[in-house]
This record gives sequence, structure tokens and C-alpha cells, in this order.
Amino acid sequence: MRMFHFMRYKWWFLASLSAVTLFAIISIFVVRLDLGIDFRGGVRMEVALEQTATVDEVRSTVRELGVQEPVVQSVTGPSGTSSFLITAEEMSDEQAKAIVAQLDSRYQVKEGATSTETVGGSFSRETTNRAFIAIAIAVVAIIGYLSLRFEFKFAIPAIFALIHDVGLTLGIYAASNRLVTASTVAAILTILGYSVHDTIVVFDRMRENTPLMKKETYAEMVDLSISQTMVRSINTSVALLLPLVAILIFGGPTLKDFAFALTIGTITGTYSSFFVAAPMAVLWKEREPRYRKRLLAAAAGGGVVDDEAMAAYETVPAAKAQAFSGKSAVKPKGGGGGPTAARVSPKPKKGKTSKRPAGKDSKRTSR
Amino acid sequence: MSRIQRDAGILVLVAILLGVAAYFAFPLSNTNLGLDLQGGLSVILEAQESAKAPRSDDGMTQAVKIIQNRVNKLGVAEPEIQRQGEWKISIQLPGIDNPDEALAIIGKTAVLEFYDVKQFGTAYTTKAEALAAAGVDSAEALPADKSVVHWTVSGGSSTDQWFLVTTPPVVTGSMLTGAQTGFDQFNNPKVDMQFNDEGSTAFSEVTGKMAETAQITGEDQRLAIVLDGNVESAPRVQEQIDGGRAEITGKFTTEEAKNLALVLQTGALPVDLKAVSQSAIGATLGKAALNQALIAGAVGLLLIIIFMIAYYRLLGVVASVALVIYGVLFLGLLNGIGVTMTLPSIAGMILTFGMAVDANVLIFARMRDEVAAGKTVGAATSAGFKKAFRAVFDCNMTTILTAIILFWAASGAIRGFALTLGIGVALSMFTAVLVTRSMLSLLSGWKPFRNSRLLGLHVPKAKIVPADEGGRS
Repeated sequence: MRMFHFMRYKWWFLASLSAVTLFAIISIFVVRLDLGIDFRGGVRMEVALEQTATVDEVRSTVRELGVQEPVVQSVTGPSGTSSFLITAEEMSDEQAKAIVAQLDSRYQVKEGATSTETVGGSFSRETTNRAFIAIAIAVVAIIGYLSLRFEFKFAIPAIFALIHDVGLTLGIYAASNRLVTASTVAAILTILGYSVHDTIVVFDRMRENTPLMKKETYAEMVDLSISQTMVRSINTSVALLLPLVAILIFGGPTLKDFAFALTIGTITGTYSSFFVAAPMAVLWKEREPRYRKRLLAAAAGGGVVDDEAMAAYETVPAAKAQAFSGKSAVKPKGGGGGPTAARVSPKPKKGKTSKRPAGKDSKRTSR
Repeated sequence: MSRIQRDAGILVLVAILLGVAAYFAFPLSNTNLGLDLQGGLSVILEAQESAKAPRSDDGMTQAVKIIQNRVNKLGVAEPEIQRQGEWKISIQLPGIDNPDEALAIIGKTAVLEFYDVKQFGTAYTTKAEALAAAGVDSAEALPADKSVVHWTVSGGSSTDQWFLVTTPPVVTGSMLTGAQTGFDQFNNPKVDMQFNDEGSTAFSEVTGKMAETAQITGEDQRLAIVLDGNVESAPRVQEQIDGGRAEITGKFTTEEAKNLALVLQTGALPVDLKAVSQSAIGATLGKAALNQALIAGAVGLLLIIIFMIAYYRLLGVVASVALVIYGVLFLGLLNGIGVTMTLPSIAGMILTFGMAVDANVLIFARMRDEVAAGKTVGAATSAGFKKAFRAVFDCNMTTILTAIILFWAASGAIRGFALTLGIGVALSMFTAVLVTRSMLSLLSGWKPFRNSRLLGLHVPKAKIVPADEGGRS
């Protein structure tokens, strides 16, 4: 297995993804999220028309009847119809009825194919509050659970990865002017629960590799863990993306809304595990004395005596990685010319390399 | 008990469960469909706090009963009326054609009061003026012994008048024993009412007094019949009315008269309810949404199965079988406990298909690790399950935790999503881990299941240098 030294570039990952997250969050505040009627109160109407009509035509019909700032979207309705979702913050019952009557006379409304949803102001405020509270509780619950099962120093990086996932999802909502609905909030909460999956898979491997790799620096151990788990993390995400894509293609408006947010969250959740959660955990863990010592030892072993351990250790792990990169304890002679070895500064090392690759010995790996 | 026996036992148990689940799950038309999938009216009413009708727990319980009564009289099949939280009532009426009418009936406070028009006093031209006369600025702030009555006096051009009434009504709706529709001599619809003893006495006393005054003064004496603060009609009283009967005539249609009789029969709501959220879904739209969801679900399931088999070959087949078993068990469980399926809950279900195979992906990836490290397929299987379980468990727990939080925080249909997501993930852990393992362990005797290539356990490309144990199959 080829091992890539992700952690050498941890600052790059963290800096670029922080920038992306920051940009997304700023755009949320600058462009403003388009909050749907679930949060502001208002009326949402779905109408299926027998004859084809355009969004503009429907919008002007709605405007003619005195509805301010209606949002009209074309949606997948019953087959053979052109269906529209009309949302407005203020629309009286009479106006709603007039819209249906007007659309019926112009484009013929399909029998039984209208729906109207009205949300009152106080109810929507409650929904908003509950959404915030629920997200806050979910974050605390995830921190608690990860602290319990792993450690606090893993929980916080995982949460930062989640902030990236949710921030980017909402940022895309803001940038593309999508209406945020109750379904979106449900999807966001699901993202919180789901995108931590890939992080858990990496952390689980780190938890398992830690006792096996007593000499390597923490970053090396994390690199190995990521290399070992990346493919399966991508596969689990693909397994979830497949039904989501099916929903995006075949589903109606409500389902699409769910699937859209979840699709973004699932994709970001996969890479943020490797490029946000893991690097942050490395940064934090390497402040611990024992890993600091290893870092310095690695630096010393690499022949570079320098205060800047960071710079030093980067030259070393590749050489060591070679030992376990093939997942085989004993490298056959002459087999060392792998792609990873090319980067190695072939300095002789005094430090003993652990000869036990992860996943080799079941008795040791199981707790 | 040997492992084979244990695994066979598990599979027999699963087969039995599968039978039971299939009994509940099929035909699929047994499933309770939510309003968003079959059309209908869903309303959330909230009690408004006012001095006149203070909110109380008893009042809410009673209101739910009254609404239930009204809905039953409307003849809606399978209505659902529930108290939600402290001051809300959620009402689900499937298959309603005319949501506006239904809403008007359900939410009508229906406080019926009879006043002698002389009690009305000064007429104001706006409601605000009448309220100002009472020294308050909103109807909610009106003290219990005062009320504002609105009267559209017809005659020429109709004029709206408001009155501040400070004396109690002479007869109230609580003294009614019955109400029916009927027709007056001009064949116009009307509502007949019967009073109980107390009501009869009061009614006869008041009408007697009014008839007497009319005779003495020669002026018309009118009795105003007020419903929810609006004068419905104000007939002249010419003689004392005994026998405990009265009627409301006016400008009703037959339908309106019927509805009025209905709300009067069921009595006034003890709290003032206002619709804070409502949705009326057309049956055609519901059906379309259901079809779309089913197609999306079926395609999603198929894609997952193709992916798993393409990537993990025989193991993928086993995982797919486990996934289908999961699907049937899940449907059976939902139908068995009578969960109503809504659009979001179907979304939750489709998602759990993807999450269910997550566990298999993690386990199979572990098995690959073990095979790559030189283990036999059998040893790799047991080690793979053992080592992957911790991550599988932790992953699913975070999802279950968020599902619980979502279930608590959400209202309405989103709750259904949280419910199916939570139950589904928990159940899928059982099928993806236990069922897959038992199947693999029983199949391990069969030759194809010892071939790591067929199982999809071989590590692609010759990257792996075989370790000490060279002779693996």
C-alpha cells in the first residue's frame, strides 16, 4: 500500500479549509440565508398545471394578485404536469385562492393537485429556536460521546470538521439562494451525526495504532491510519451518496431538499475527517510530552538537531514509513525503491522502528 | 454450543422474524400513509391567552374532546387529534376535500350568547373605539365581565357596528341540549335549538319581560343571538316564549346552517384556539410524491446493491441479502407498531439503506486487511468482525444520538424522519453485523466462500508481499 504523508501538509489543509469555511460562513452572513416560511412564517403553495407554464409566467400571475416578493420554483410534480412551488411571507387565504383560480383559468390546475401550507409567525419563531437548540445539543452530545469513547482531544477536532461541513453546506445554500426549510435543518442534524462517521473510522484506527507504534511520531501514526482507512471511508460515503443521488434525480421537492443538503454534507464529511479532524488532533496531541519527545527523537535521529522539531521531523517519517508501508513486517531486500522511498533522506537512523504494523497481529490490536 | 449451531440458531431466529415482519409489511398498501402522501388537512391550533378565556390544562383536554366530537360529526375517516405540548392541538384529517370549511368548523370557538339588544348601549364605528371605551387596546386584554360585539346591521347599505357589552348574556350556549337544521316558512335554512331547564326558564323569563316592554312602550324589542362576538340575528320578541326552544334564522346556506348546528351541538371550546400552522395537500400531489419517493427508494437500493456486489463480489451479495432482510424487518416493524409513513420518514428510510451497508463496508475492509496480512479467509472473517465492530458501533451511536435529539426538537413530519432514521440505524446494526456474520460463517464451508478472490477480499494489484504463511487458499 502506498502511503502518503498527509500530515506534512497539515498546515496547508488546515489553512485552506479554514479559509473555505470562513468564506462560507461570511457568505452566510453577507448574502444571507434565504429562510423559508418554516422560520419566518408565511405560505407555501404547490400547484401542478396541466399546461406548460414558465416560472416567470407563474411569478407574474402571483404578483398581479398583489402578493409581495413571491419565490416561485419549478419542481417535479405529478407526471405530465408542470409544477411550481410558490412561497411568500405574506399571502392571505383569499389571495391563495385567487392564485389557484387564476392559474386554473390560464394553465388549468390538475384536479387535486394543489397544496397550501401556512405557518404562523409565533410558530415559526419556535421552530427557529428549537432548530438552534437542537443543533447545539447535538454538538454537545457528539463532544460528550467522542470524549467518552475516545478522548477530548479527538472530540474537539471532530467538531471543527463538523463546523466545516455544516458551514460549507449552509454557505452553498446562501450562495445559490436556496430556501432553507425545516427539512434542511433535519438534514443538517443528520450531517452532524453522519459526517462524524468517517472521522470515527480514522480515529478508531488511530486509537488502535497508538499502542502498536511506540516509536513513531504521532503524525506518522496518523498518516498510516489515514492511508489504511481512506478507501473504506470513501466507500461508506459512496454507499450513502448512491441513494441520495437517486433521490436528487427521482424525488419530489421535499425529498430533494433533504438530499441536496445531505449530499454536500456527506462529501465534505468525508474529506474533512482526513484534512481537518486528523491534522487538528495531531497538532494537539503532539503538544503532549511523550509525542514531543518522539518528535525530537525523530528529528535527532534524522541527523538534524534543531529547535524546530516540525521542520525536522518532516524529513524522517518517510524512511520509517517504508517499514510499514507495505503492511509487511519484513521488507524483502531490494524492495525498498517504492514511491515513498524516493522522498526519503537516506540518513541512517539510530531510533528503533517499531516492527509491528497495524492490523498485523489481531491479539494486540484488539483492546 | 458450537459456533455453527449458534449461527444457524441466529439465522432461524431471523427467518422467523422475517416471516412475522413480512406478515405486517406486505402488501405495502397496509402502510399508514401520512397526509403528505394521501392528501388531506393538517392543522396545529394554539390556545391564545386572554383574560376572557384563560388557558388551562382542563380547558385543553376538553377542547381536544370537543374537536374530536366535531370531527366525528363531520364524518372524516381516521382523523388524528392530539394534544401537542402544553398549548397546542395537532389535527390530521386525511382525504378532506374542502379544507377551509373543515378548519372553520374545527377551530370555531362557538360561544353562543343571547342578549337583549338594550344591553348593547353605545354603538361604535370601529372595534378599536369599542375597546378604548373599555380602557384596553386589544381584545385579549378585555376583562372577563366585558365583551365586544360586532353587528353588521343590514338595511340599505350594510353598516358595521361594535358594542361594548358590560352585562352578562341572558342565555348562553352552555344551556343548550341540542341543535338541528330546519327550514323556516320561506324555506330558508335555519338552526333550531333546545334549552335545558335552566335555559328554558331564563329564556321564557327574558322573552316575557321583553314582550311586556314592547307592549307598554310600543317599541320593537329585539333579542340578539351572538356567536363568537358576532350578531347572527336579532329577531323581534313579540310574546313570551316557553317550551325551551329557539331558532336562528338568517342568511345561511344549507351547508352553513348544518355546520352551525354541528358546532352548537358539540358545545363551545373552553379556550380560544388559533391555527398557527396548517397545510392542505391535494390527493393527486400526495400520490405523486409517494410514487417519486418509492422510485427513488427502489433505485437507491438497487444502486447500493450493484455497488456492493461490484466491489465486494460474494461478500457484496451477502451484504445485499442482509440489506433486503433489513428492509423487510424495518417495514414490518414500522407497520407493526403503526407508524404513519410521511415523506420525511421515507427519506429517513432510504438514508438508512445507505447507512446499513456502511457497517458492511467497514467490516469487509477489515477482512481485506486481515487477508492482506496473511490470514486465511475464516480467520480474517472473525477478526474483521471483531475489529470493525467498535467503529461500527460508535458511528451508529452518533447517528442514533442526533436522531433522538431531532425527534425531540422537531415537530410534525420531521419527527417521522428522526424516528425512521433512529430505529433504522439501530436495526441495521443488527442485520449488517449479526446476520451477515452468521451467514458468512455458515457459508464458510462452501468452496466459493473460501476463495478470497471471489469474496472480493483479494487486495487489488500485487502490492502485498505475502508474509510468512504462504499457503493460503
